[in-house]
Amino acid sequence: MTNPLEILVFSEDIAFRQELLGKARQVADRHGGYVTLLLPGVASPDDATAYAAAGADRLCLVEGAGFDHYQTDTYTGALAGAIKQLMPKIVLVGATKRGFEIAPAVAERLQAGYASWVLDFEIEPESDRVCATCMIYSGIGTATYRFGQSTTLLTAAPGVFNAVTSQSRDLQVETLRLELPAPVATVVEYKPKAEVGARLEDASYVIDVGQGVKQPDDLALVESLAGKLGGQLACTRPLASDRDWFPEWLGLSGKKIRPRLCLTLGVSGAIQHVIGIRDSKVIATVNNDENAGIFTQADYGVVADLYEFLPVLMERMASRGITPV
Amino acid sequence: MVAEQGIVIKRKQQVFKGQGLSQLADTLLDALLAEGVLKGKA
Repeated sequence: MTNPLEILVFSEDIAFRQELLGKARQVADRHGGYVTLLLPGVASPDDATAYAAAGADRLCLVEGAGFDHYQTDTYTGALAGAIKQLMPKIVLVGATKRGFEIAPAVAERLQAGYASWVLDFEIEPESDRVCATCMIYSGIGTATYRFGQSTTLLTAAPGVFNAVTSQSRDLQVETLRLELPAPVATVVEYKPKAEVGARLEDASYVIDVGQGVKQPDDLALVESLAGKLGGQLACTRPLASDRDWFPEWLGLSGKKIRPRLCLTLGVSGAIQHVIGIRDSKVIATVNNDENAGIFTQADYGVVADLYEFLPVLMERMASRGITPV
Repeated sequence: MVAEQGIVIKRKQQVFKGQGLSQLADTLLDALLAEGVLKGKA
């Protein structure tokens, strides 16, 4: 008799855990399996009920001194140690910057299977092997991998899976005793990241600006529109990484959103960026270059100078009494 | 385009151009009202 399927979920991002648990729950339910959420550095979980509702059967806590500030060695040791003890078939890791540090390191240490940018996964009934469909080539294609019988680690980006509310279940809480390595590096200084407000992934309206916005002062015009929509501002990677106007960006290497409406302004439509907005219900775009690739990725496009168009758009919204839903 | 779980999202790719700005704005707003992502006066 084979062991029941166990899926171990890990992310240091609290909000992200719900999405990962949702997918893990769906797969576990199809195979009579169970879902364990790993919580390194947590002595007593405050959100146990919420985790159970999100799909967890069990919480595994890992106590230790090295979790107060993030250290890759400590978290890598905790995840590797948990996998050795629990022997899960699948380890689903949030594809955050830290998740991308931890998951492949653990896979290498344990000689386990690993795939990144996972869009879907399942257990192949006839072979009992893990099959994962992953995004490749910046999202213009997918590849499906079939793994061996050892543990498989998968990383999935925020917004790929949906959180679910599952039936009430008895939640087990256990504490794992692990020997964690001492960190090889000492943190000298921490600086707080700039406040970005609510999660972009949760926004119903997103105004997405690109390099067609020329000056930082021009963002006031865009913010005015965002205010009328109760929406949030977001940007392409160059505006965050090169111009430093925003702390984060949308796209393959950034946030992925699924708002009711994504309005892009001066965005060219590079595939790496479109990956971050393509799950929006409706995409509208304004660009003065009618050959811009974004027009083929949008539902509605307006060929116009955004500096001239936005004031008129806001005036027409106001005079027609048009508001967010 | 392929989103998660094999869902194919087909975008409408309707492009509005060559009108006055007010008309362009109204055309876009009408489309967004029809999609149900904005609402007008009751």
